Amino acid sequence: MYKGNGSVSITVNDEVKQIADKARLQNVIESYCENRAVDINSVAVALNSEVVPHSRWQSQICQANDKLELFSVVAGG
Amino acid sequence: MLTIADHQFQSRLFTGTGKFATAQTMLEAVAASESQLVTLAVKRLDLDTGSDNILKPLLESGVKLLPNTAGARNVKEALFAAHLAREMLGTNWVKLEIHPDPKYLMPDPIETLEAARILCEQGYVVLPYVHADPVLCRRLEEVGCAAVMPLGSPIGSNQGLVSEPFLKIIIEQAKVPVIVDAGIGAPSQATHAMELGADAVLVNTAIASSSDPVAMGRCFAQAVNTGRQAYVAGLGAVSHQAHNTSPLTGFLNDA
Repeated sequence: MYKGNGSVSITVNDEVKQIADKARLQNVIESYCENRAVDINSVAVALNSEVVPHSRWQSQICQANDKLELFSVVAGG
Repeated sequence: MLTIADHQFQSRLFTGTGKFATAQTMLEAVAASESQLVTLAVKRLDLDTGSDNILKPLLESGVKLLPNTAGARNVKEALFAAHLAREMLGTNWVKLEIHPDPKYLMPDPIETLEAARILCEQGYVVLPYVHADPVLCRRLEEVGCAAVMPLGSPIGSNQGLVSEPFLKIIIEQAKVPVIVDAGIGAPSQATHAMELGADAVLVNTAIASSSDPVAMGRCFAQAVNTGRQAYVAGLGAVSHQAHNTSPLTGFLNDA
């Protein structure tokens, strides 16, 4: 599904993943959420420990060794 | 009616969503409590189990969501959690809690004040969870917090209003709403907090760990209402000496 040449490895929540080189953040998040039936609208994302707003998911390009973290809400007091 | 920032609440009972046996029980208990503000936490998605399916039904129920920064041990982590929560929920409200010590979960006042200052500057509506420290509560008010949330006793301990003398000072001095958070273990304690003049209470464990959380949610709704009405009506003065409520003269007509 990715249009880049070759693949690079990144970590998603500490798990090493192979993704297409120059993949858009939006696509990486979508494929992650689809595989796990997670509602993409209720997810927040940090790339290399910086929060990336939804509005930048489309333009943000992932690079080798990126550290991607996905968060959701859970019950709490 | 209670107003925090620009938002009005009919109910003065806020509830947490943690520790319930099932999501369904939590939703029913929140509904029974008539709470209009519920807290949530932010967590890294579990690769295997996905996420809790509580967000959609909570949004549908019409309650306002208050994400917390639980798990944050310092300013940096709290700011990170607040930013994530804003992205996730589209709210600039945050319950700021920074407790580095896992045994007593005592809120760190230094980190909390600094994080509150920064978050207020960034436009957040900040509700900080703090020890019942009147000086700290004033400082938090000065940096722009929309309310203060002093503890009654340690989180989840059900010990009640151990901090009562200091809560009284905070309530007397505060120009922002005072929400007694943490440690309220019984409806009578919620009533008492409201009789002292607290603007609201936040209850989680006492409802969630009851053997009938839905009934207990209803009990807390009544308790908070009763306490508030008693505060508004005005409690009678306390005195050491007795004062008769019936006439003591003229009945026996003794000479």
